[in-house]
Amino acid sequence: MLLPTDPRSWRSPLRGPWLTSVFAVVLLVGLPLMIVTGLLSYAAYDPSLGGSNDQTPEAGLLASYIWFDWFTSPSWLYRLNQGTHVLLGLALIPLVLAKLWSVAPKLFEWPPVASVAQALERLSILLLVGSILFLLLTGVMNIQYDYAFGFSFYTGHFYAAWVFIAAFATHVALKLPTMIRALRSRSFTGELRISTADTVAEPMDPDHLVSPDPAEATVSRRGALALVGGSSLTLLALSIGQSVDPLRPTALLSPRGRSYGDGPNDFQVNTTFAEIGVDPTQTGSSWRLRLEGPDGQSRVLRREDLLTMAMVTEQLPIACVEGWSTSQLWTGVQLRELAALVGGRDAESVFVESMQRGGAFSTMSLTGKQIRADKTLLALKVNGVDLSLDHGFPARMIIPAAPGVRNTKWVERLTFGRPA
Amino acid sequence: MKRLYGASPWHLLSVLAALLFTAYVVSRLADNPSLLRIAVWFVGAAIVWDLVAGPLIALADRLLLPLRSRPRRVGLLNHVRVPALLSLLLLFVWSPVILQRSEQTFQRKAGLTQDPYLERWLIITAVLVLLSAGVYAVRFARAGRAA
Repeated sequence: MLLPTDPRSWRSPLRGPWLTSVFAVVLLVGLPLMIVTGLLSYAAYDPSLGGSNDQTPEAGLLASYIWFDWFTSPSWLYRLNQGTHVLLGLALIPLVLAKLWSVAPKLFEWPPVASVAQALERLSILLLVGSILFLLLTGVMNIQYDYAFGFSFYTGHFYAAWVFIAAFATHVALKLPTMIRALRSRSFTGELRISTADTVAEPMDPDHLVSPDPAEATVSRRGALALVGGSSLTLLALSIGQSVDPLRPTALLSPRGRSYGDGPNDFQVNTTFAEIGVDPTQTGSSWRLRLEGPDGQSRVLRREDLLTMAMVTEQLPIACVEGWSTSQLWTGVQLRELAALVGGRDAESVFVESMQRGGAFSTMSLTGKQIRADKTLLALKVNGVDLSLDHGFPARMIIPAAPGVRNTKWVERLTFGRPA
Repeated sequence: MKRLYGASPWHLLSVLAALLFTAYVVSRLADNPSLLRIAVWFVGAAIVWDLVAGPLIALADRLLLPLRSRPRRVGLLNHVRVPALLSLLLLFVWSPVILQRSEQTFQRKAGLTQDPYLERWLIITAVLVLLSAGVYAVRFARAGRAA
């Protein structure tokens, strides 16, 4: 029995720079898309507003790329961004694992450190591998409400993402020429025509990926690529329904592939009324909406008062940071009309408070841009009927293009901030 | 430079950039009580995959080797490998709901139980096994006719 530190213990004839580079080139397209959608998702909370909007107050320079207020149109923007981030992340899991498999002999290289350069590079590889596995793991757990990691998902995922960005950039800078050279070493379509029986190891390479003592092939490179690609497509096919309403039942293993029934309020719930521990009678005739203006004006409105105001109906998605989304027909009062009642037409922000006490997102702020967007509603109804308790009765926010968690439910107070 | 360091100045610059940037990221979390736990999960993920899960899968795969194709025999190997790997991958990814690890949180958040997922995963696995067996049967029949 050979130790893994002996190159002859690695027998697969498939390992080699060409196969590694095929996985690499797919990741080179996919991972930057993950980075961009991830950074955009972070910006979509408008962390500069502070409070619950900013889940990482220590971010320092890491948040300095956000020079803009988050967008309010197109209304499906966050749905697309986050659906892409989560679905692509799931689909990339097999590629990441295949890439790690293809370079596994490097991990056990002996002696482990031959020069200062190698020691530093191996450290940067630990950052790369640690961060990508950490990001995939915390992402996959978070979309399934498994918080066993015991730290804030936002904190862990955000800072690990920055470590990943740095380690990934370095890895690309160092390995891009190797990848290009390896891809040019054989024709992709030619490789797809080679059967298992004709599959032999690549020529020995300076990076020692190729086995010095290859076993007989049990699968062709074509077969290995089909297995990895097929795994990605399987994960994608079994998840896409969480983000596309008509396909919902096909998301068989996703927590958001379930049907709640076929009534007007039967769509995905995040945070049930039961969870917030509020007595249901407080949502009845005693409920009041308190409006505070920037210059001390205030108003107290009953639900009946709101219903006498101009109603607007819009088809708008709820799109969660977890990647699932659903589009519904909301009816309510435009937020800017409520702002006008207390002299807050030009307010630069509004602080939204829920009846929920405690909870990481029971209060949330919106920007002036969001206050004035046509489609920003304090919704009273959905699909033609009153909101259910689980969907935020008596009234909830619906903000176009924003992360689902900003659509505060069970709203009881809106405090408009001073104009700039 | 090359003799002292072992690679080009460009290499040193790239690697140092990543390490210094990481040091900055870690410094942001210096006062955060979660730092240690995050570090444990970060390093733990790499160790568990590289030194435990990966080798175990490779070992299991090696045990299947007698099933490979031989002259005049269609091998069963890849017809076991493919459904096994796909099923294992789905279990890895969706284990919180399949094993009902987050049942209570999910009930509070979504108002649903996680009862259906284990059954669904088993059904998907059964479908994968049947599909793979079907393809094997076709290949077996063709090989028999050709012989």
